[in-house]
Amino acid sequence: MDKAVEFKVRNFRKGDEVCLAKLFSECFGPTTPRQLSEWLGKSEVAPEDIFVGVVDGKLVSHVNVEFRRLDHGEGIHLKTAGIAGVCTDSDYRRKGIVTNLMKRALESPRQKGVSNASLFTGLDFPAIRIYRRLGFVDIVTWRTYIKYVDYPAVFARWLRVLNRSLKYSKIMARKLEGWEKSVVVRLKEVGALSFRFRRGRFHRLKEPPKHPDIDFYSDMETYARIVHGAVQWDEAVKEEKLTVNHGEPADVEMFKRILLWRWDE
Amino acid sequence: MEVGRITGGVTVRPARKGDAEGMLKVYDSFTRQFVGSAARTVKSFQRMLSGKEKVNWVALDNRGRIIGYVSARLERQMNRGEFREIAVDLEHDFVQVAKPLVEKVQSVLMEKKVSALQTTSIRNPLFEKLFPEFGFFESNTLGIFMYAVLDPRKLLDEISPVFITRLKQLKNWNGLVQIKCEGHSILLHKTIEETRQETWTNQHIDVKVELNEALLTRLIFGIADPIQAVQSGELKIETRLNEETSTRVLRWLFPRKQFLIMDYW
Repeated sequence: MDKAVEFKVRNFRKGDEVCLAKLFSECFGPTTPRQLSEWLGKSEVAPEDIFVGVVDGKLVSHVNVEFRRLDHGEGIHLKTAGIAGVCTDSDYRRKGIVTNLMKRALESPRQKGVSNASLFTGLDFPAIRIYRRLGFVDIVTWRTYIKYVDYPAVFARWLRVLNRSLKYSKIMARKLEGWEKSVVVRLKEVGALSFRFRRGRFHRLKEPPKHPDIDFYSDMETYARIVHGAVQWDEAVKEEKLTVNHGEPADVEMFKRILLWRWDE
Repeated sequence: MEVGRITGGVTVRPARKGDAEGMLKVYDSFTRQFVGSAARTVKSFQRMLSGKEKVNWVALDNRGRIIGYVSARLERQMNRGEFREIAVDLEHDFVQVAKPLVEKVQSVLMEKKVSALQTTSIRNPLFEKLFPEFGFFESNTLGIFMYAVLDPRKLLDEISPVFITRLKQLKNWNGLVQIKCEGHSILLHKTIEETRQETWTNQHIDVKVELNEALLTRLIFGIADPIQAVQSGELKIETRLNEETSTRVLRWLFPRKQFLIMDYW
């Protein structure tokens, strides 16, 4: 854990929407205060079930509890405290804030007589270690199934989403500072797709540049599995399912971060 | 209105507002074979049937009764079609009913010019067999559902009806079972007349099982094998019964189950 900071844990208050939208935008992707207000109205989450961490008056962390009923066998549905929206500002991670928030978030349903809690997360998310320490048990992993109908369109949309996310992700912006490179993705089934990252934005290129900084070849399935974290880039290279035609190791490492949206060390 | 069609004895047509009740019946029947599903009402299905982005189709038998449904939606940000759930009445073959539904909804989504189609197996483990047949490929296995016990005494009390239902169905055996977890116990008494929970009794216990919260969680969700847990010493058992009978009682109390959850939070 990094150096501790003084922080407070409190419940959500009206007026927190703007700060919370900024935090959500950084952690989950673009979110507006209006979307948050709509979600609060629709989801039946009470302000007392939303916990925020505050450092020097700044809202830096969030956890909320949504009560559901899950079948525990033979059609018997028990109330569960569904933990959701666990996130911390990238400048305030590894300081014990979210662990504290989680403890409060679990204590509250316990006091209300709820016997259990549950959550969805990613096996590759650092927070999974916190959940296990707090007594959460792995129940089931699941698989995602994809079928691409028009991959060039998916690629273009991915670049647009990256640009929108870049506006909010401080950690991503910091990492990409000064990295001005062009990338050519050659896919067996689709052909060559390319982009250039320049002046803090991803630009789709109609034609692949003559001298790209990164140039690689793979098949659609392997590439998609890498993007979704099911296959490691290095593993695909080793198995000769992906060939790097050109690329400095440091540039390839950065591109892997972009692909996987992984900015933490 | 699109015209319904018959595929292998199953008629499929777009779902209508009035189908909510029939779809709820199918959902209840289908999810009975799993653990984890959320409790739903007619209102849940009325909500599912409203909204421009939704694509819902139902399958009917030759008497016009709903025997299955598929619910998909258009995710605008990524221009992606998402298969959210498929449920089929337990009396019918899942694949036979689901296939024409997926075929139809896939073509409806493609008419809407989606760039990709996606689904996840946590919504239905049977998707693992179904969707690869439609050209979908598995792209990741990184999502995980986790569960924590907040109050073991309360949880034991709440799940006792699950064990009572199971014991009721166990033929040719009557007796007293004690399940002890983290210092708390429930007593389940099965007689010829009835099966009930006892507050206290001075009668001899036929089967006493002792386990920790983590194992109880894994047994509730059907991901641990009680006999293996006995062999590994995780589950302690004291019994006057012979090995064959005690094994039978244990397997009946803690059957292997598949987990499914269609409602994320």
